[in-house]
Order: sequence, then C-alpha cells, then structure tokens
Amino acid sequence: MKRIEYKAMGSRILAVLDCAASVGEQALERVPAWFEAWEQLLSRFRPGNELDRLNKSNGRPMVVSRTFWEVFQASCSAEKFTGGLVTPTILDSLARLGYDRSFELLPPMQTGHLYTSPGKPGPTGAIVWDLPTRSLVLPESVHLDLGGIAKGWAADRAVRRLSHYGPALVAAGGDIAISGSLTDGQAWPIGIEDPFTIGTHFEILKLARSGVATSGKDYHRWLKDGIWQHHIIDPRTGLPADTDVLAATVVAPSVMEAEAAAKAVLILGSQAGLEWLEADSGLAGVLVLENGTRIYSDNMEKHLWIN
Amino acid sequence: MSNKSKNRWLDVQIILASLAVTSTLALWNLFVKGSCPVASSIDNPNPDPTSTFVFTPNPTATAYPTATATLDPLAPIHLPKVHILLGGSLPIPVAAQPPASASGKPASASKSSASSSNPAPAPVASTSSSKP
Repeated sequence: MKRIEYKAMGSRILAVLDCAASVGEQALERVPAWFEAWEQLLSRFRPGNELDRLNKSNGRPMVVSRTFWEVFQASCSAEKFTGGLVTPTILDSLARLGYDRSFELLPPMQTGHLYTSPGKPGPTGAIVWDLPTRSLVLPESVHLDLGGIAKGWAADRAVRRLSHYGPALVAAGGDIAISGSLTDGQAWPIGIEDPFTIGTHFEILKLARSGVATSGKDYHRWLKDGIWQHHIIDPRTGLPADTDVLAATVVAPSVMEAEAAAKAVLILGSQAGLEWLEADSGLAGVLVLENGTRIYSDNMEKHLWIN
Repeated sequence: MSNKSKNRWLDVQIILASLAVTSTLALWNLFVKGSCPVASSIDNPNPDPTSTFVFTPNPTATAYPTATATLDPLAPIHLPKVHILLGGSLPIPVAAQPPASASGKPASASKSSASSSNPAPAPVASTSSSKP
C-alpha cells in the first residue's frame, strides 16, 4: 500500500493507493498537482482566480471552466439536498464575522466594527446560469464560497482518478472518499477522531465504496469583538450555527453528500439533526455533543468495526 | 452407795430430761398456733386479692425492641478501615472509571462488547473537523 501526505487547501491531504505496481506510485505523485490546480480555481483566498473574478463580476455573465462548473453544480445539489442549510452563498456572512482570510492567517484577536444586521445569505436560486455556454450571472449582492464542497469534490475527483490503478482513498481534511474495498476484499479502517482528545479515535469505521466527512465547530474558531465565532454558518440567520453538536460525522454514498449532511446535522442540532439524518436511509452518522454525549443514528452500527 | 442404785438414778434423770424437752416443744407449738395468723397461699380457696401474688401477663406491657437490623439500601455502609497485613504492602486500589461519554443509542453498547473480541485495526485515515 502506497501513500502520500501533504498540505493543500488549508488542510492535510492524504492519498492512499492499494497497488504494489510502480504506476501506482507515479499516480500518487501527481495528486499534489491536481489539488494545486483545483485550489487555484476554487479557493476564495487566491486573488484573481476564477472564483474571485466571479465574485467581482457585479451581475455580468461570466463563462467558467468545466471544473468550476462541476463544483458549482455540486454546491447547488448540496443546497437542494440539505434544504438550503448548506449553500455556497455564505461568503459575505463569513467575511462579516471576520473569516476573511485563510484560517492560518487569522490573528488570535481580531478587532472590527460590530455587525448589527448580519444579513442572510441569498439562495443559489438568485444565480442565473446557462448550461450550453457554462456561463454564470451572479447578482451583486451574492458572493460564493465553495470551501467545504470544493474540498469534498476534490477528494472525490482524486479518488476516481486513482481508482484506475487500484483501491484508493483520498482524505482532504475531514472529508474522505473511498473508491471501494481493498484488494483482499477487506474494508478500509477509518478512525473518527475524538474532538475532546485530539489524536485519539473513539470509533473505527469499516468502509468500502463510500464517503465520510466530519463537520465541527471545535477547530475553526476565532474571536471577534470578544465573541467566539466558528465557520459553520446557519443560512437562516447568517450567523454561526447555534447548536449543541460539537462535531458530526456522516457516512454517505459519496464524500460530497457526507460533507453536506454533516454540516446540515451540525446546524440543525442534535434532535432535529438526528431526525433529518435518519430520514435518509443512505446516510448514517454519529453526533458528539458539547457535553460529551455521543448519539448514533439507527443505521450507523453497520459501519462500525464490530465483527 | 452401790453401782446399781447409781445407774437407776441416771435413767431417771434421762427420762425427766426427755419429758421436759417434749413438754416444752408441745407447749411452744401450742402457743405459736394461737398467736400468729395463718399465711395464705395459692391453695387458699378464699384468697385475699391484696395479698395474693398471681402471675398474669400484662397485655399493655411495652415490648422490648427486637434485634432485627434494618439496612437502608441507599445509605452508604461505613465499614471500619482495618487492614490486616500478613506481610507485603497494601494492595493498590483499582478505581473503576465511567466511560468518557454516554451513547444516546444502544448501538454503542452492543458494539463495545463485540469490539473486545476482535479489536479494530489501526485506521488508515481519520476523519475530524480539525482540518489542518
């Protein structure tokens, strides 16, 4: 089994390929270049890139690349899938709350004016697009942040490319895409990190062709005007989600669904989040609450390493 | 005086002494019966209630508290801290720690018992919200 690990998109990237041949190793070596190209297109922290230009288009139509188009469509699907809880139109809310640069560059204490009207992000329905020409018209009041979805999409795309050489796994931060079972037929053992004890796992999952993602408010925190903020924005308020869930891990058929679902569950809170999760038989998850309680969805047990 | 007459005098003295003792006892008994009241007894057909001692259980008598011990199951039992050492050192107390977090679903209970029989391998990757 070969692996490559490095940092991109503000996260730790891990790619693993269950292939003994040298072509597998060569394929893994290309992964950083793939991520760099995608980050250049999709990151909101790369001035002058495609996303930046679109956000500054001021309502003028703009033709986007195929990659950008795919990620935008994936974000629209996530918005529909989560009933609007996960939307790419949260950029202004994030910027207002002080998350206006890469997280590593945020000062520990940021000063700024108090926002009295946070402003709710607009739905993607306000964006006009044309499929044949891949053109987008972004209203002046709407700006996009493809962050989480872009990371999931990148993991999904990379694992698809690597799967030509053997069973593959790509983890982009907490978002993990798995192409299928290992060559010996076994599932991949995936740990769920304990948010209270960094570096330890409270659960080991056994996953084959699927995606898993964790969304939490335990890491991306910053202080603004004396109030702790986190990066999970509730589109209904435009503010950091007021939730009792500290971290939510969701297993889904694809990593993009898992990423969107984990975020939706976190925003909804433990009770409504669990109900929403269990309403979809394709989803399973575990919620870690702020008081340390863990809540498992009904069908999560089949993904746990118990046999 | 001859020995024969001496023996006859001695016999007379013995007879007189016996008669004296017998008459004294007879007179003593006669006067005692006449001056002392007759002591009543249980067999007396007309007992004096003020002087008769008859054992009758008193139904209103207070019973002594029984020796049965009642233990409150919730109350801590304080045992004397006595260490009997036959050599060596005190054993190290083992404290049972509750799990760090409780599970909201029975899934965790069933998995924990099964996990112990077949421990999971080391994870290839881990998912967390700690992105970097």
